[in-house]
Amino acid sequence: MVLTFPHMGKMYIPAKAFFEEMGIETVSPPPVTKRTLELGTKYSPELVCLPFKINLGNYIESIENGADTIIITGSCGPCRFGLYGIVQKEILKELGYDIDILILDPPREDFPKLMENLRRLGEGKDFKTVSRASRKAAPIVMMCDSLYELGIYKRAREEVKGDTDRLLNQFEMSIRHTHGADGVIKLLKEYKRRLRAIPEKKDYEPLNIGLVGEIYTLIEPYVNLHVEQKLGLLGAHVDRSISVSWWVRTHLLPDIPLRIKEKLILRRASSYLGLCIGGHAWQTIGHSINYARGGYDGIIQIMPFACMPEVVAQSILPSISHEKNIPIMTLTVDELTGDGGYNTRLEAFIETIRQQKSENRRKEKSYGRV
Amino acid sequence: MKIGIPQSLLYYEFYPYWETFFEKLGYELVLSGETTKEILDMGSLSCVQDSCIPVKLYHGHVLNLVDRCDRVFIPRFRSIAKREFICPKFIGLPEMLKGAGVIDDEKMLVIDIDGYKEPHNKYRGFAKYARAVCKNRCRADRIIASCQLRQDEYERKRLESLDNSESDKGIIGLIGHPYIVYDGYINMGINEKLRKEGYMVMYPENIPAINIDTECARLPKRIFLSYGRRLFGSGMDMMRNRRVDGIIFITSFGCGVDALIGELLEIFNKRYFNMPYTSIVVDEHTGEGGVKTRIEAFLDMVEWRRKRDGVDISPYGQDVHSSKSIL
Repeated sequence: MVLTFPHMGKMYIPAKAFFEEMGIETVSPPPVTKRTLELGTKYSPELVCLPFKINLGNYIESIENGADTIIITGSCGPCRFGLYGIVQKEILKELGYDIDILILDPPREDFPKLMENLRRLGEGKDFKTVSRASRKAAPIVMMCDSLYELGIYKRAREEVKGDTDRLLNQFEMSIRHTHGADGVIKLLKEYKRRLRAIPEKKDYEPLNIGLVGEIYTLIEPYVNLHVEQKLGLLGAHVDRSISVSWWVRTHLLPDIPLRIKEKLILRRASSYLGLCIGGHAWQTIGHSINYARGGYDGIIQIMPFACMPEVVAQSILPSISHEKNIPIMTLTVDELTGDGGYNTRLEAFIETIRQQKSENRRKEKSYGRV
Repeated sequence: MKIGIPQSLLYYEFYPYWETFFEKLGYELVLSGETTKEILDMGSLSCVQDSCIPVKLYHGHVLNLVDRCDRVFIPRFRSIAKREFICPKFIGLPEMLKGAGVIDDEKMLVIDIDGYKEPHNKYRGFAKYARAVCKNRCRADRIIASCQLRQDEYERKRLESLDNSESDKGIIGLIGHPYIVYDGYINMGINEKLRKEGYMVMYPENIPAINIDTECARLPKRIFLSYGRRLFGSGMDMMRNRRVDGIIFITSFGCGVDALIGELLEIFNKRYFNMPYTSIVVDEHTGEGGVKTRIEAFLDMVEWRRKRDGVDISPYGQDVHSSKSIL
């Protein structure tokens, strides 16, 4: 069994470490490129959402590299993500790839099936190996996210433009040559130290932008056209509402304080949307309100074209923008999204906010004089 | 009180229940009427652009009703079968309408339909409302029971509505969501066209639930979207049992469920059954000419197939149309 998994941002780093610790042979999919997207788009149904297409491209590229089993998480919520595995399997079969897809559904869905899948995954491994591997891999998720969060912080404030990105690129190049969890942790620590040492501009106050939206498009930089990087280079500090570590902490780990905080955020959304409609639409609304309360300067919602839950959120966001007096922009991405138009919109958005802000400050000053 | 019911989305599925319910409560009913170009235009102007056509149409229907009645009945469909959903947009429909500025909170009459945990009890929102209005538990329960009776009767009739006596030309399976298949404007009168050509039309609603369950059980994972399940199961059943001579899969642009279900049906048809199959995608711009041409070409193919294959007797264990084994 040679295992592979779809890309989702930097998720491949902890996943790779985990499977290597377990002693399972894995093929990390090559980084998402134009070829991935083209392969995925060619063989996917036309109207399906972008994550499906990228995933399919990942699988094909991994299979070319020798993978024969795919592992994905499943869901049975209203979002169609839960159906991905069934359809992708048939499409791959049509293409002549006879591979297995292990769908890990939530336990309350079909517990025996989940256990069977897990047993197949950990074939011949005793409990000790599994628990040691997961104990070692779990902190990598958090460390990896905190490294990139530090990157976001530094990017908005760096003195020489591009320093942060250069370092992060270096990190990604060298992570490929490490093996096992210990090597990854060592590398993460080293790069965090080097990132911290990047000189900052003095007395610079970046704009605060909150990112909300569909989880995959938020996390995978190729799909959202590196929005964090672009905003960072425009001098904005970005806060992403959803990350891999957030998902792990709210779904897998017994992290009670974070769960309570999330509950509170969702409860605040109740006057706009009071129940889960699938995907992360509820979180989108909740976090938008949270950002507005937290004094952020603007919010950007990102979603794939024809995303079912986010369309609902999209139609609710204008009223939040109006009532809470915060600019909100929605960016829809699909396989045709061009870089140029995207850049222009981001620049215009940031520029408008910046002007508004300086005008407000001027007004405040003049009021003070009167 | 005048109550408005938008004639869109799952109205086509549940109207006997809703109409009986409000009539028995003593309300005056106002319907938004069949879809027209005006309704479509109003809807697509007010709704977010990325949404699918049926939801845009719903916005139009509600806009059409808002000034003509005291309150507009907007059902919130969470689930109509055990551990299944319909579509995220259906759950957030009232919020979408409010967000689009189509209707205010006071004008909406939102009743939840939720059978996620207890499917037999999915109409409890109606029961609660009836009790609040009647202030008489017995009367409210009687109303609910009679609504249920009407709905059951309608569903039973619908199952038997196809009779094979009229046509000798053949049967075409028209697979799609009820709000597209039964809405003559948005589907360009496709069922009328088929009937005019002398074909009978078979809908997913004509297939018994048990057959649908059998077909869905063959998949490695259950389909948790009620209509996705119905479309997939009925399509597979029609193909496997050769109930029809050809299948038209009709869907709207941007429909998330159909994108996956249509692909599955197409793959399985190609792999096992090899039936005449076409899929038609409708949106607000579809010209009638294109649809007409495609249907004519499709019917020609059906006709040609029938002539070529003649009598349907196949070698043991093999499909008539291809040499692949179906065992």
